[in-house]
Amino acid sequence: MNITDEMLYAAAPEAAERWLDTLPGREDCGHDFSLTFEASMASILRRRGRRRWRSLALLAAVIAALAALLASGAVAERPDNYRVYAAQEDGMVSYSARPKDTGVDLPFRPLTPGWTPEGFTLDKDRSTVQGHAVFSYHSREDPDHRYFSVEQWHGQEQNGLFAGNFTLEDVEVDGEEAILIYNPDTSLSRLLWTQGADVFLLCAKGLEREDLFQIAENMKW
Amino acid sequence: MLIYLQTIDDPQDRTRFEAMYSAYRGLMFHVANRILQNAQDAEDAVHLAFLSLANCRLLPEPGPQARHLAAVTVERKAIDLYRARKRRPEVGLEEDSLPGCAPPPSDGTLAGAMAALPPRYREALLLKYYNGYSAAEVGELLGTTAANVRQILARAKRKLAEELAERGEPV
Repeated sequence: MNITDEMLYAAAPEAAERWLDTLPGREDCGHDFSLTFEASMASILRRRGRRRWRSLALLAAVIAALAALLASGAVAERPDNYRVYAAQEDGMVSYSARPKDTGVDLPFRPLTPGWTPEGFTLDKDRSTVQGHAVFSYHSREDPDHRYFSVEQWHGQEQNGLFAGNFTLEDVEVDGEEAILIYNPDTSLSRLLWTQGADVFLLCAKGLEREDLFQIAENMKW
Repeated sequence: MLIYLQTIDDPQDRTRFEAMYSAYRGLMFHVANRILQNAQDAEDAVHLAFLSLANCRLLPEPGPQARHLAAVTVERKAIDLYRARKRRPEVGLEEDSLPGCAPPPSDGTLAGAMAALPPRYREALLLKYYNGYSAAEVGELLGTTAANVRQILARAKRKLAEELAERGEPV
């Protein structure tokens, strides 16, 4: 018995359908992904986006972008000298943060939260310092698995993209412009701000709004 | 400029990758979690799967083919993670005995037999004959070489022929 390629091509759609039928539908696949996952995916999505744009002819891209920007009014909403910026479109939030151009080469000083809400402890296994970036992760033993992480990048612009239904709010951290991104459905929040040559992103699940600002305004060396 | 370009990206112009991420990440988590039985490991598998998909040059539009691609890619990552974490490299063609890998019942047709193959055979076969990927592309998605994929495909065909011959079904 010889099974030819033609037979396999003909049978494959039905075979795939049979296997896919063993999987649940989208409505049964809800999952509240961790912020660690979201952060790592934002990096992949960012990279993928860049690769796509690099593949375009530069001139065509610039012309198309300028035309689209003028048409969408996005330029008007985002000032040239912004430090932090976020926008939401069709369930995807994109954000960008730029450290100040201080004109001097400031040394890198890794900061970690000097204040944490009661019961939260640093998870050393998940916390890292890599080059000029710091990731600290705090969690608390409770049924809701509340946690927060703070990422700090020195002298590097940061951009991200993630999915979900979030609200965006302009706020301040230590007098610096900041953006609070919050998902009321999952109680996931992100607070994005800059401080000198550093960009900070605080990601949290289940934390009170006041706690987020307490953490952000008490980063210590 | 790149940042601006990202921001103004029209929803209809969103990459297929982003569309897959949005549409299938829940399903992918479910597939991985039923194999790994651990939410964090399952998220790791989903992450690894998207890393493979990010390198894939020919992603389908959202639909059955994209759903299949997403589910198969994460299934492979989850099985590989299961092997690594359980330190059970001997888990081979018995992959269908892993939790969450039970095949649908075969009815003796070629399609039924393909769907009921062990995961590694089914994945390679359907990625090639359903999704239309080359052996090299299947290898990239499944984390192996093109030569190994060709070997898997040859074995899968032999197994299919044996299965159907045993049942005495015309192919």
